[in-house]
Amino acid sequence: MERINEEGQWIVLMGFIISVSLFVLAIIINQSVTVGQTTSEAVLEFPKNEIREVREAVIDIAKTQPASGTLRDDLDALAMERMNAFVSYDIDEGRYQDIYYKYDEIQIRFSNGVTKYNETYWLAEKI
Amino acid sequence: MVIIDDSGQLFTIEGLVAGLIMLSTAFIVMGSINVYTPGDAHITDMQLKQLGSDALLMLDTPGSSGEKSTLKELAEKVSSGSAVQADAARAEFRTAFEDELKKGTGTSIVVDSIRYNATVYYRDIGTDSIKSYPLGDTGAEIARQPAISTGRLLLVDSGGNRIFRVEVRLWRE
Repeated sequence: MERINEEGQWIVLMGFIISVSLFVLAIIINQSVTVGQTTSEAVLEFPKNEIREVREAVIDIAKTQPASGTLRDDLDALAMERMNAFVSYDIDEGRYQDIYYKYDEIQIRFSNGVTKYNETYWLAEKI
Repeated sequence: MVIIDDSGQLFTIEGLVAGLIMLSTAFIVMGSINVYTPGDAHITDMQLKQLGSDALLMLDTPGSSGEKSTLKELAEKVSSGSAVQADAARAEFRTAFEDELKKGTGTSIVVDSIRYNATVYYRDIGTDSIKSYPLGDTGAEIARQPAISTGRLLLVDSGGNRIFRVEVRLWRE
């Protein structure tokens, strides 16, 4: 090979370093587009709102008409039709009692085939 | 090995950079498998869903203890069977819900692109099937963007206690 001019190697090296770092920065910017994607997928997949709705409705039922068959059927049908979920609950009125309060034991079960949720809730009511 | 002269440095640098470029290429090719396409709108969907359920929650919060929430009152009126009351309830819902949405987004009517369509679902005892009443929307639409839906279960007094579900479908134009 012919003798090449070896002057200015530092300048060339800096040039290469700068172009490579620009390259890396471009990759980082490129990746930032998908920030929050996985989180949002997880949030949408998990039926947080549905579970809260069912929970509040069951507690409302326990407060007003715990033994009502109409309300039970309403909740069953609405959950199945509008949330594609199976919902059932049991309300054991006055399971425990002390001087001031009686406690209803409420069992809430929710399942939409992917997510299952079970809860035992103690509803305190003043005697 | 003993290095006796310092020639060929440029070739070494060139080799290194070539290697880096090849590595970066491989990295980009791997990374570009996750392409963010417009159809993949989970982020905005999630925000819209949260906004909708927050607005419904606000409407379902009573002004003071022992009072009925706006949403409950409206659902009762819509299901009352009286056309006059149902129309009044729809108008009221539209105002109240749009008010909540505006608080959430902080936008004016001009730039607000959220559209919605609200329905009350209930169980018909006779046929044991789900029926519905329209509760209001942003106006007649002949076509719409993909929508998300969120709702709230309400215990309302409609000739005896019943459970209704107010459901809102939200999308952006």
